Amino acid sequence: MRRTAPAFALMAALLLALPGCGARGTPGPAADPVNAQDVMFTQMMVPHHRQGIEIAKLGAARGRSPEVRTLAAAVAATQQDEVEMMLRWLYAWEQPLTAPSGAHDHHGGMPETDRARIAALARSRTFDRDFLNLLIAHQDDAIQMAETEVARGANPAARSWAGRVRESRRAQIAQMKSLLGQ
Amino acid sequence: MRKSTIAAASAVTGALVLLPASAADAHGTLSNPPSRVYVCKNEGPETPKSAACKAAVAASGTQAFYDWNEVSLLEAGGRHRQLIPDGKLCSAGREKYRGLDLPRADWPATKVRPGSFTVTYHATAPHANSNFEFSITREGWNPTMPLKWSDLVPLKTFNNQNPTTFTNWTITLPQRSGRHILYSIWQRVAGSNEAFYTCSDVDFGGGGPAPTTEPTPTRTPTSTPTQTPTQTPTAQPGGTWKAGTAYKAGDKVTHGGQSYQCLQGHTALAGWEPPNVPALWKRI
Repeated sequence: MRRTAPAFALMAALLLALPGCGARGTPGPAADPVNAQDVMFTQMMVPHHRQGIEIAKLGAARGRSPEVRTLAAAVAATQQDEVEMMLRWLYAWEQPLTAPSGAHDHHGGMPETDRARIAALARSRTFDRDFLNLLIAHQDDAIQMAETEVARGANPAARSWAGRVRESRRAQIAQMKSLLGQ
Repeated sequence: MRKSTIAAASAVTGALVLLPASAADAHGTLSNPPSRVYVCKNEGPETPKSAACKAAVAASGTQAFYDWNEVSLLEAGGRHRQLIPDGKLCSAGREKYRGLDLPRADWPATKVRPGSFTVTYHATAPHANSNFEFSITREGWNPTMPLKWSDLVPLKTFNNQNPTTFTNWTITLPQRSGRHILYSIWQRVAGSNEAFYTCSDVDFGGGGPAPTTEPTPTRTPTSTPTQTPTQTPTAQPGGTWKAGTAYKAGDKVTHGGQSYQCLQGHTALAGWEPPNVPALWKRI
């Protein structure tokens, strides 16, 4: 997770390889403002999203019910797109792709889902329930991070996306709770 | 407070210097009397012992108890009553922590008496300049009913505190009988709007009408009336895109005057409108 200089080179290669960086990923007009909150949010959201993708891919592969597998696969696919979009933003803003290591330990208070938890999920014998609960917790953290961006960000594209994160994760959680029978 | 001193906004063009954003890094909960999340975390998220912690873990999973020091809202800024609905005070209205809201009369409770009482806050990342507010449920409050804001009676607020890892304050507990909840709010004052919320079960003894014989029904938190109103699994694919509809690959919809084709099966939801999720929809 600690990449600095090589990350830029990697990023440049990645950008060239990305097809159709269409309207959704464009950082917007060059004069759009960017503040420290936009940068921190994006730097934190990339690893958080990647963990979400890892959890969701487990759900897509191991879920017992088709509804669980379908939702998990859609979460994984959409978040993968979003990671690429965020990396393009950081590149366009000429910012590092990761937060300074100090901030990484306590980034906005949101603990990243521990690796051990994801490993435990892979071994779970009550998979669907444990998967849904873990992803609910993970997306609930994402809502908190998005709240801060909506409140304190300056970049129009990042803020409006954070608003959609808040909305779509709430809706995902509602779907997952109904799959849990709650 | 390591709040960034960088100007609020700067243009992308031109040399954008590295922006050393501040990290809001406070964490904690009440350790005496222990909050619900602290009790269950100490029992062990994977091995809860009490019936209440077992039910809480069953209701919301284990992750909440690994993240026991994060029952918080990042952008609270004192708007606790606006942001947290009745019945969800113990979870701060966060789905991740919904197991903490279970209205049960068997949460492990600390025996207390009216009068002077020392509370202890365990902050794994203490932060200077914070307000700590303590309140307790009113006499006659029923522990098997969802906790509401109107159930709470203010006890004492300590303003502009500089907590350490374990911080003690002395409060005065009023006359009460039976089970009650000591509720606390840690509101950071400078550099962050973050606030932390705790529910600690206490027992004054000499309790209510039928103390132990009640089998304490495991009522789930009022079966969440906040379910998405858009959940309409019977909606027909095709036509106008609609949240709640189950789409499969190949389905065609219109949205905002454009036509889209579904690339991957999913149940549509708010925030996943076709133009916003190219992984799921292709414009045609």
